[in-house]
Amino acid sequence: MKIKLSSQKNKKTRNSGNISPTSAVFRHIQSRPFCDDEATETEMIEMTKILAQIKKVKR
Amino acid sequence: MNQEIVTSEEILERPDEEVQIDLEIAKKGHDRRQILSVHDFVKEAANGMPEEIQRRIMRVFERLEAFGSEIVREHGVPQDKVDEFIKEELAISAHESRAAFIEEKLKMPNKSYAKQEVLQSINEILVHEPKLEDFKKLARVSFDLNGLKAVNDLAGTRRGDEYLWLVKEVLESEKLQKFADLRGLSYVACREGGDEFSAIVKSDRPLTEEDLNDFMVLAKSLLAANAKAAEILDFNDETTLYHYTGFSDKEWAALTEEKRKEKLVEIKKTIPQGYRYVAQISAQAATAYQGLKDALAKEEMAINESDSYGLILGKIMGRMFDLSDRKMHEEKNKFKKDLAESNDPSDKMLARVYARTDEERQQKNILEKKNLLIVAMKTLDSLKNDLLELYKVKASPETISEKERDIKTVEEKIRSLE
Repeated sequence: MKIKLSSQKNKKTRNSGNISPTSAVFRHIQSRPFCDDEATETEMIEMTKILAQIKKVKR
Repeated sequence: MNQEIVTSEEILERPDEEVQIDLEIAKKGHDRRQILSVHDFVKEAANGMPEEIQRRIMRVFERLEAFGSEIVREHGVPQDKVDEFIKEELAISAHESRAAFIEEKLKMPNKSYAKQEVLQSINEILVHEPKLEDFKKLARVSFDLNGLKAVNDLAGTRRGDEYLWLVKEVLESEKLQKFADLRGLSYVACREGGDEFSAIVKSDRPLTEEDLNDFMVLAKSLLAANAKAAEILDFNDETTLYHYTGFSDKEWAALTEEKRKEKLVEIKKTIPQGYRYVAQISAQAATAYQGLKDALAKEEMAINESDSYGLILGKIMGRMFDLSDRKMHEEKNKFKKDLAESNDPSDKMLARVYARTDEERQQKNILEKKNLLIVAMKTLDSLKNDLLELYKVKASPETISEKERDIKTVEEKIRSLE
């Protein structure tokens, strides 16, 4: 009986917040905000130029 | 070696037994220094430190060792004396590195360390023939713990510190480390100050959206699942409850027992049944690639043809930090807006907890701004009087123009505050 009580207690502490799947808190936890936005063609050209410059000044 | 330096004032405030223990540890440390070889000593000095600090200590050691060999060879100084000198210098260097790169409260690498780590990592990418894609191998994840002010205000700063520890536990947890290992990522978790944390994430391959989003979701989930948060900010605790409704300790103590009970019943009615506080952290990331791309868009941060290697690296790093922080704050504001508009009782409760402290913070900011404005206006007044005096005494044009420049600076400051 004692063991059962203890395991129930553990279950309760693990489920800390009773977070509803429809709540804003749940959406915040599950949000995947990072977006690997691709560079435009012009940006690619500019970035390639910078990379060439970095290689040059590093030497 | 891992002892902290204790000031004499601190020793005077502490009980004798504690001081005695400290002295014994210090003596043991000294004895140990005598026993260890310089090679073992340097290993011990660097042990447990973040990589960049270990590298620094090793660099110091290599220089000291070369210097020591020269002294032994050229001047015939005994090797044991040189070794003792090297150990002494290493101990100082390790202590200085710790002080410069490890923050005190949670003993985590600090913001300076995070910057060093990013600079070093960009440099590592550039050692080989890099392609633009390689800049995606490095990212900074910016984390901001929500509700620290609320915990400090409602439950006290000691509880606030415990709340911060929850983030350390998550960021250094086996689960997050294991996830990183399985994905072939490595990361260093840093506390950059206050409620701000970061993780410098690296991989041998370009990091994907999935890598970084999964990393952030896992960190947020682990924190939210930690039941300790509800013990730290406990809405069954009387003090937390009366603080929550704006009572100070003094005001509460002035109430009669009966009145307090009555008030507690009233307060509890405003809290959803079975509500438990859940810790929330907002997060966003930026890769070095995005830092480089962002540097193109910002005129003041644009990379110029005359820029040195170090300056270019610094600019990419700066954009990475700014971008991840800016996006993280957008994420945080979106969350707060979402909370405020939610119909979920727990969301509404959390929104009230956050809003209570936000309002307080806004009022404090307004007050601080007003105080600054008063000081600036007084300064302007005094500078104008000085200028009049300078005209009267026919001071040199340089002195007058210097004073005019000061006036202009203060006027600009006032305009920015108004």
